[in-house]
Amino acid sequence: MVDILNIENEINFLGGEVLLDINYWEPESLMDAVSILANRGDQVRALAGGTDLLVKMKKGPINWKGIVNLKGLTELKGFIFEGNTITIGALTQISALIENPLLNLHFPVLIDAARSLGTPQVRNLATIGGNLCNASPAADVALVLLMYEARLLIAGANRSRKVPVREFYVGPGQTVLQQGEILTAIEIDLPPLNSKGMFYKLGKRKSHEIALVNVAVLLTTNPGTMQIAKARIAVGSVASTQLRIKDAEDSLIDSVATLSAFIQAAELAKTAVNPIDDVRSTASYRKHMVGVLTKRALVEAWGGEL
Amino acid sequence: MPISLQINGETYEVNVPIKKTLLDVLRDDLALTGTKKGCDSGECGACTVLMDGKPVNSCIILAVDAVGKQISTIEGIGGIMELHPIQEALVAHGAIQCGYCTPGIVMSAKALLDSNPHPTESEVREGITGNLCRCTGYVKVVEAIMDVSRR
Amino acid sequence: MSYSVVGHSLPRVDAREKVSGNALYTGDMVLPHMLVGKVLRSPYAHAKVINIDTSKAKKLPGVKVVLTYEDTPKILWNSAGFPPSPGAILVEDQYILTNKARYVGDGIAAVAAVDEETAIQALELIEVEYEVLPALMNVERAMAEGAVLIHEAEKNIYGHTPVVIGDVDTGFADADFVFEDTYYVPKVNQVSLEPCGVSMAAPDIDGRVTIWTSTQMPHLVRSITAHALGLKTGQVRIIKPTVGGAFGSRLGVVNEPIAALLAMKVGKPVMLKYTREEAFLATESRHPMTMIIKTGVKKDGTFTARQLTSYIDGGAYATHTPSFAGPVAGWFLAMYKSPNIKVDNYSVYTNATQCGAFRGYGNPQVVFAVESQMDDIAIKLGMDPLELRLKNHPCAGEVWMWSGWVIDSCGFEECIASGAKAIKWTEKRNNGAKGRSSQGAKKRGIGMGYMMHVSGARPMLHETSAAMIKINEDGTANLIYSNSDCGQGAGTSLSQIAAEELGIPFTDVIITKTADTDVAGFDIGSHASRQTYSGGNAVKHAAAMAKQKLLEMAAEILETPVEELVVKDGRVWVRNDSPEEPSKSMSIAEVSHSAHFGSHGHQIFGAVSEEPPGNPPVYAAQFVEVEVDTDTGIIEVLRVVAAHDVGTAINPAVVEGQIEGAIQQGMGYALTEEYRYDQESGMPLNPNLSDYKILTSVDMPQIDTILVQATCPTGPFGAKSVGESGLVATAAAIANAVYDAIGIRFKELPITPERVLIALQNRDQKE
Repeated sequence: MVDILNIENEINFLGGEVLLDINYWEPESLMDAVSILANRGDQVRALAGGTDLLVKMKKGPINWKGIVNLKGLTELKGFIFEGNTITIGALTQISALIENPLLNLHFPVLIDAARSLGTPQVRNLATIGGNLCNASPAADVALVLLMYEARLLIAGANRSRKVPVREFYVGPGQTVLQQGEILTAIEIDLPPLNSKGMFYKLGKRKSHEIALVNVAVLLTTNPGTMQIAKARIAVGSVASTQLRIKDAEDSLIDSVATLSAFIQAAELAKTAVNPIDDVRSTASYRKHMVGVLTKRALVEAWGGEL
Repeated sequence: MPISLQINGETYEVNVPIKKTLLDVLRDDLALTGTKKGCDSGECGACTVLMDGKPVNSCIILAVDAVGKQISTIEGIGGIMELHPIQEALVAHGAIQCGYCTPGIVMSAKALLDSNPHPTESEVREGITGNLCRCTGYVKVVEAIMDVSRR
Repeated sequence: MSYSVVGHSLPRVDAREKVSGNALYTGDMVLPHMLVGKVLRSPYAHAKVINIDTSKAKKLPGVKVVLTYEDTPKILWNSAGFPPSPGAILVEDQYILTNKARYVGDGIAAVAAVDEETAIQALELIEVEYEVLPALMNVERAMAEGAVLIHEAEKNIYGHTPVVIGDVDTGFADADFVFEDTYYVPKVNQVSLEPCGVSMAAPDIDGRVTIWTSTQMPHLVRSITAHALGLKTGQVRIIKPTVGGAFGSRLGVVNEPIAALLAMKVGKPVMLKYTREEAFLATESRHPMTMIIKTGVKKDGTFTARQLTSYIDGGAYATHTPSFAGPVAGWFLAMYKSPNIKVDNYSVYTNATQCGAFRGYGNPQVVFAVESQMDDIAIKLGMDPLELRLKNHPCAGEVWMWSGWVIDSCGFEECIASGAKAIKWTEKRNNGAKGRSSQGAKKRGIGMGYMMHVSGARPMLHETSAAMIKINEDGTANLIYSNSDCGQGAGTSLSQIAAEELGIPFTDVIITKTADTDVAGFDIGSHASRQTYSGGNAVKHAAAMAKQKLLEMAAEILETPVEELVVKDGRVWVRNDSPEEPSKSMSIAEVSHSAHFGSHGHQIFGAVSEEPPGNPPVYAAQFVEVEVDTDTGIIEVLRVVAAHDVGTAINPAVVEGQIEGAIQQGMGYALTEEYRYDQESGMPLNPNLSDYKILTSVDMPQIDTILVQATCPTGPFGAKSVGESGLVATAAAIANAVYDAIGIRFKELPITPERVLIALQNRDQKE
């Protein structure tokens, strides 16, 4: 089990390895950006919103020496709706997500997660792509993208590829992006008809919080019945990556919606996770909360009588 | 690197290291000390400025990244001879104690009311939640902003 | 009593400059040739410095000086900003830089360089060899037999403050019920928005050093800094500009000596500005305490004996701690009447950052413990908690044990009545669950806490304030005062007092916004909620003196006996004349002009330096409604009603603002704030605003403030105090409300969701 704590909370007594300055590029095309990242590899970092990168840079110590500012890649911002799929540019700010009417209409749970992220100031800078690539198990928007089964469009020097979001993470702070690859867009299909979702984020304050536990569920029902056709349960902050809990989901598929079915699914979710103790909370509390929040989310997502 | 910044409608030419933040350039290079440094890590909001009208933490923005944007700081809001209505309301309601969070709150409040002129109290609290205050409990700050919104 | 200036919520004198970004805080200032200072801090909680090599750092271009313990004057000092007083026990155990690290963050070396980056690079180049010692991170370990000594002393317990009144053993024997409970409160940080620790020191050719610093205590910081540097007091000048909050963190020396030493060694100004992380690491926090409260009570609710035993974790250096134990005893003694009382407070060194002052100064700790137990007692006796408080608190006309003086005004009964009414105490509390509108997993409850606090620090600490009023030729008045306003609004209240007394418009009083020890008379500073009562009395008397001279001058000019003249609205009038048709009258401007340029040729002054007449206590009752989510353990505060007896509210908005802001701190103390250490290494775990959680605007509930103005005969226009009171009873009220909601008593703060859940699970298992 990786201790997430140590990565974030080192105090730098000696001021860090102070670089005289760092190298800087502002590529004007995606290909230029990809090329710099491919050639410089580990020595550079891509800058999107900066809300994670700048904080890490200031805290130190850092082992990279240059920044590739992606802001010139304006084609990586914005929304395209086509058929049943929305494609969101990776450099789209979280605040822009919140303001988009079609997202509000079709992906309300994504909006809930976006609203819960950080503070208004952070939301005006942070990007959807950054939230994914930072690969924090506690990420809010990324968790809902896992629930919505997003596909991530990645561009590299010699190829482009699409990776389902559930295959994107390797560990805390680590994704499958190779040297020289950039996440360019996120594709989400409209959820099946008769679906309703719910997102819960647990924190000790109502804003400025990194989730102690977060949960996103989606239930698809057979209309006019009490039957669950599909279930998706995504849980964050309780493992080295965000998880879809297959056992819990399977227990609900083709089942009748009852309170005890939801309780059982929640228990399965609870059993599946392995959280840690850190400065924010304890493993046992987090584990217990997975059960509590999953049950609540399922009941709320169901919405009707049980 | 020599850059050109648009701040409060004026153009400033400065030569800055890449890793210098917008906050440090404002305070050290341009003597615009109204924007404050409370934590230098995007956690307190004392450094809030408007970038193309939206509130952001200037301590986690590289100055070079602010090129091409319209930056507004507290110095561009009203002035000592004539205050902006938000500033007048904060004064009139006794919403300013130590004053360190105040410039950031003015910027967040301005952005809020510019985009939502008649917010509910809950929307006001959401709008300033990125600005920590340790003196006021936010009570009179919220009252002042609600007062402006009712006009 | 209604006044023309006092009692009105006039705009603060410094509000416009703050809201426009024009106010200058220490860190906004620049002097020519100014260097940047940085401190090298120990990464170990307890370690001797065996060797330190600064040669590489000194060679780095742009570095002007590097200092270590070797370069510091070998003069021990204590940082607490207290005057020599019966209650000031100042154990001097600090050097400017140390050769033995006693907490993670202890200052080992300091540099001054041309810019921040060079200074940080220089720190990197200093090579230190440490001999690491065991870290004693809590009082149990520090007090254990054979524990390694943190200072050259016999033990790590360095203070014991006993108080004995009557005989508690007899008292407990006489009691119908005896309660004994242990409470624990953690380390919390003031978190002023301007990080604590910012000084700009500038030496001059005459061997003096001027230090602009964010401080609460200009004159005391001057004397301690001078002492630490081996200088005469007069060789140091302290100027306090606008300060971004203090709450006790700046109640004494913070980093002035380091800044001054660097500046004097290099002969140039040095700015030493701590980061937020350093403000957590290296500045003084609240004292964590373990408190054992034992109470003997009769069935009718009278106390037969009360006992407090406390272990005070003072951290790595003595600072306030030995002195602090006195007020702790005082708060306990003074809260409730009992013929037998015993207090034993033990001060203990640990390898945590040294503690100092934080709003309330031991009272929030003691009140949390006492008021929690009070509710348990009330339940056992079948008494309304309000009744139990009303029965046992000291009243007007009785001696207040904190000071030994008679209480001259008490608004507590009204606090209870108005607060209970506002929150619908009877309806919600006594009607059981039905009255509490709880739903499903969410349970609601109502609780309250009571407190008394001081207006100044007499007689434990010397109190003195000085004020000088000079009337200008045009009738405006300069008020010269060592203005230690760090945001609480004292500068405004004092201006109102001066204006009211002088009879001139508020906007005609110009108070010195900065405090300059070369200019203003000796004033203790801002602590113990003293500025309105102590400073205000001095200001009022200075104004009265000036007014008398004005009237004497006017009497001459108007050829009227001075006893027949009064000042109002900027004019001198004959008493009882109608304002529409005065028989004779002249403006203060005319009087002053005459004084300056007439036959006498003088400016009219009033100047006093005096101690305040007493220490009238203030009272409060805070009522809280909470909702506990029994599935998640999360406690939401729905509403706070704070009823405070402050005496006359000189500026009601200022007074309310103090209470409202304090409640945010009290809620954080109860629910979300705790500064934590790794118990083995002593490494701080959350020295940042992400993991040290102060409450935001969306976390705050509806707050209703009720000002009960029980006028005090000795206060300026009847004022007492409010500065610290707002958070003293908050945590207790919340804990009591939580008990009302879910029947679980939490004796440890903060009451986190994890703790609530464990308590609920334990209870469910037992049932």
